[in-house]
Amino acid sequence: MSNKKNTTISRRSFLQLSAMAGVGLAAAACAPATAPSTTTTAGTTPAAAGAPTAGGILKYAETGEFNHFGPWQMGNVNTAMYNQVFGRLIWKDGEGTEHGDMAESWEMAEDGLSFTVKMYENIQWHDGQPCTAADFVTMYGYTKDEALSGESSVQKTANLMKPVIDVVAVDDYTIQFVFEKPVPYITEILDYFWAIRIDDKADPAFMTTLPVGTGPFKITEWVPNQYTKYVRNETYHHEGLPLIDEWVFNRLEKSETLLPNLEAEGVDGIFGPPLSDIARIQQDDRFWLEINSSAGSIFNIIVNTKLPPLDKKEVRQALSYSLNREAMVQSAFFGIAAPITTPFWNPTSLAYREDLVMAHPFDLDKAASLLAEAGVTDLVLDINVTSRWPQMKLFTLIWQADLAKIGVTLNVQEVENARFYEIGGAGDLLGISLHPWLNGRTSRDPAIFLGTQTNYRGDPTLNIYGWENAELEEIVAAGAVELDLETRRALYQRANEILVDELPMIQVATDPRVWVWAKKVQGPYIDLVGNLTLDQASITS
Amino acid sequence: MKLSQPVLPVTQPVSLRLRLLESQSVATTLRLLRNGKGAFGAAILLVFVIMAAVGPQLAPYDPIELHLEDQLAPPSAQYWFGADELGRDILSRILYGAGISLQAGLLAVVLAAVVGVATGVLAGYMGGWFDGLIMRIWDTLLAFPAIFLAIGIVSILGPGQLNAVLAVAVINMPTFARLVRATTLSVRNKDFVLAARATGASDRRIMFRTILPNCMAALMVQIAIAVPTAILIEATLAYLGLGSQPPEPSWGNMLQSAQGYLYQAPTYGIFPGLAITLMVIGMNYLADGLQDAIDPRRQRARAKMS
Amino acid sequence: MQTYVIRRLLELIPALFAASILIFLMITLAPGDPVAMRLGTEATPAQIAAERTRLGLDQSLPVRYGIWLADVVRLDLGQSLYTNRPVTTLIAEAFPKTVQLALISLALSLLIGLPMGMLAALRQDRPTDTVITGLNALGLAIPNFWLGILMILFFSVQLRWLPPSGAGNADQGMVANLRYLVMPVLSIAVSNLSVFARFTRSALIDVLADDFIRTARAKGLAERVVINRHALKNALIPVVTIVGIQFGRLLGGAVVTESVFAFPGIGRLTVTAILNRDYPVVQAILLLVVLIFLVANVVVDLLYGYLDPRVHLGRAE
Repeated sequence: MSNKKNTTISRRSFLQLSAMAGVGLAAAACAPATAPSTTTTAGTTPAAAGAPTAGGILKYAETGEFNHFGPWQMGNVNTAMYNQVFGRLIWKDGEGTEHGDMAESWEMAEDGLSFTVKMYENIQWHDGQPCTAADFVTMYGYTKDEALSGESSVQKTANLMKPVIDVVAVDDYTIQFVFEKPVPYITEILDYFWAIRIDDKADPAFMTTLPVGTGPFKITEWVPNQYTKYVRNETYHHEGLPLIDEWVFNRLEKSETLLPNLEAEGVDGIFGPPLSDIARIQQDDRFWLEINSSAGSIFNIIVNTKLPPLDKKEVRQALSYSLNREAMVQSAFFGIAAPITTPFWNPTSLAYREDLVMAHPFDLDKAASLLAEAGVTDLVLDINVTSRWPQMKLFTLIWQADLAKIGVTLNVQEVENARFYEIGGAGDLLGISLHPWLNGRTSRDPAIFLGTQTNYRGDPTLNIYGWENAELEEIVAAGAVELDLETRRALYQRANEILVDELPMIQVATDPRVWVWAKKVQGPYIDLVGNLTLDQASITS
Repeated sequence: MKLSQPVLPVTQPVSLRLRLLESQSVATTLRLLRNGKGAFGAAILLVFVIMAAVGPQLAPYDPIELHLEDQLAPPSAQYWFGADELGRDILSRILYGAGISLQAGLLAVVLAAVVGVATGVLAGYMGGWFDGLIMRIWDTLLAFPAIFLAIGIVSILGPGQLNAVLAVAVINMPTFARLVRATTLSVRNKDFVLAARATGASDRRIMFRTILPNCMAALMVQIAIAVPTAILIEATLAYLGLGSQPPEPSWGNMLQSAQGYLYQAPTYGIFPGLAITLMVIGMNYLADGLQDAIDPRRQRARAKMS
Repeated sequence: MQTYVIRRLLELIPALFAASILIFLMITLAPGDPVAMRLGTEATPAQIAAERTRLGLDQSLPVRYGIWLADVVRLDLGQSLYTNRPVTTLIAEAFPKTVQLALISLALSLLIGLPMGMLAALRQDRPTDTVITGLNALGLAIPNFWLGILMILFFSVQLRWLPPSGAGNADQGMVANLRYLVMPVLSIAVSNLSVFARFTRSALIDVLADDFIRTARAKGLAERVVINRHALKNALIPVVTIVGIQFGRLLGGAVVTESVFAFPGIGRLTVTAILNRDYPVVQAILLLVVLIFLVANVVVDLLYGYLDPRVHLGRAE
């Protein structure tokens, strides 16, 4: 077994990707409002401050409350603690570069039917037990375990791990992932495969007993609705890390209070302030911002393709042309978002095509003529919004005003959260024409995106809204097992074309994640999954 | 609050009583207007009624017209009360909102009164199992704090102006029912009712033409008291996102949005609340004045004191 | 007297029963799917259906009602669908906070409202009265969520003295956490004190006009004695009544105020639970609230009987 790191990407392609990412970053630095990738603003970048000092307590705040401590849940409000408490074999940073956390080296077999990873040998779980290859076999076993078949976090991972037919411990520190057909994107799957131990099958969410992991911090205390505390893992297998002694993660009730708390120095960093506050903070020298879209969350609209006349793609295209995305980004998103017409907006994606990012510029005349072509007059549409995402309410009202100009009536109704999810979860949208929604993982390998975001699929047994497209399904099947990069790229770019032409989902804008830090905090960064990582964070005095 | 004695002499024939009722109303209205509080309240109410009726014409902008470039603009010559998060003129939205609030309050209470009175009279007159059942239902409703019940009802019916009105109506029904039932019970066995029955008048006629007029005074007062509370509860429901739907300009809704922008646009949160407060103050004063006017004993008690 | 109390308490049972049916129907009939919300935007219908079965939510309404009732009797209130935590724990955390809020507000409103009302009654129709009555009218008319917003605007945004929401952290200490109570308490107290003031005023006016007061005065008793001994005790009766009635309003005021300030009490818990269709939480809290309400009514009636010798409890009513 050679020690050379053998990934599925040839060196040439890797350089190409890095170059593109670099260009993307440079472009981002020049044009913050439309940047698709990581952007830091208001002064120095995190790494520039010289030698970081060790020690200190970092205080941090978000809204929302933990309802699950397992990283496999990949839930919205819980993600901030994943990379702190749990480790992964291999992970990708915001530019797409692979790093080994628990893995010393890794290699894809020549025939592409297995992937071997060599672990570090000094890794311990937080309770002192050694972490070995057997633990990963156990984890794989969770995805097949009857007792855990009802647990959503395990099901999500099971879904991601579908192409893996077996996980074998070749020896104590060598793991082999076995496939039936090649899995070119295995490292992206492993990006989600955090190392966990479900010691109590009745508590897979770790609500009664806090979880153990192999990450830089141990979770030591949870006071519900108030805070969680994490202390440095003294036996962390990466020497010298983490830098800080303790991390306190506070829960605040309302997002409007995040910035006031930061400004009053009650906390040193926050996540998710109201977008309308961001312009104010960008002017303030005491703080720096991280506006990051790696998580790839986007705002889109589910179209009820079974409901005439929305079954005609001309009508759906007309609706796309009638969205004044630029204005919405400025008003509904306060400038913090990028307008998009495709889910593959990130230049690092294999499916990326520059001409498709904004394929439908705002054009009411074009929209009107498309509607006329389709023989549609006096169109009446409904859409529901909820207070959980105020941007939705704002952009649908802007859309309502614009649609009225071409004789289309859009009725907007505000409903409670539970009702909103009920509508989105119903295949016929309960008879409603349109439904705003969010999808994620748009920065990931398209195989993962299409494997998890089933509302973009053309197989009616997977896509609950019933949209059918046989060509897309062939692409999905072929791209998942194709080892040649360029062939894959061509396949996924064609998928991109199809999705933008057919529009079973109408894209609106990206949904960047925003962190605000006090100047004295240096070193936090965001990985490609979009999660916060604090192992190199430090507090200067 | 002490209930007044029936204001009509109860032993006289119907036609005479109706005429007395009319002149009694006139007398009451005059007393109301002479009373300082009542006049003040009536004046405020008049202002809002005018606002509701004519405001839409006077409004400088269409309340749902967006001016995205003026998002959250502070008060200025162009937007007297400033602009909201979509650049809509707040003054225009307040003018339009007057009608919505007034309508909601009045409709809810009238609906409550109709249902409450009907069930109350029936319960008091019929007695028996019907009385027991109906009052048990109303009593169960009264065991809930009003706001929980309102939220619950709107949750079932779905958010929207009409459903909010229904919810507020349901909250008020028990009070009306109990009020009317009490009066019915006390009047049921009086001479003139027995006389009416002896002459063969139908139950329905007895209930609605004989018994009901006796409740009128107390009913009027109860309605006047209930309307301002109804307006407040409807505004609260709107604030919680359960009232009128976007882009309709409801005052409670506007406050809900305003709270998200307190740091950027502080004045946004002031005007809609001010409007609600003024309308409710006016109605409260009117209700006070009405109580004094209908029950002159209160005035006399005051005269005794000084 | 004994039998009266026992009878009243026994009467609570059918009332609670009726209320429980209403509560159950109200929340389960409301459209909305807490299971879909629980699983998030990536859930498949199969997963949602499986979860629904796992939670027992696919059974018929009468069955679910029966199970719930049986659980309640055993004091098993279930688990929140939204946070997965036991409902009893959630209530145990939130309830003391609301009680704290309600009691402090009540104390403040009584402390300010009663004297205000008395003063207005004694100086009836003079300038003091007009001012106080005017303030009362204002206090009654202000929507308490708007009052909350105004306070946030003033104390948090302008002056930056007070935190705009929440209840503070356990590790910040009791005194620091009091800062979080100031605005919510003031919001609730302002409207309540107006009700007390107004009621005390009119009750005192009525009593002062009463015959036996005239008699006492005629007997030559000092004005202060007249007021303190005779008038006040009788005026207290309606005040007790109004506190009893206000109890519901206090709870309701707490509901909205807690939402404005995101104060983690019972009110906010209930509103959030209703909006999220968190059945176990809503059912448990509403039942508890109704129970407290009904018991409070009984207590008020008993107090009434104690204070007013004309009221004979337990005899022909």
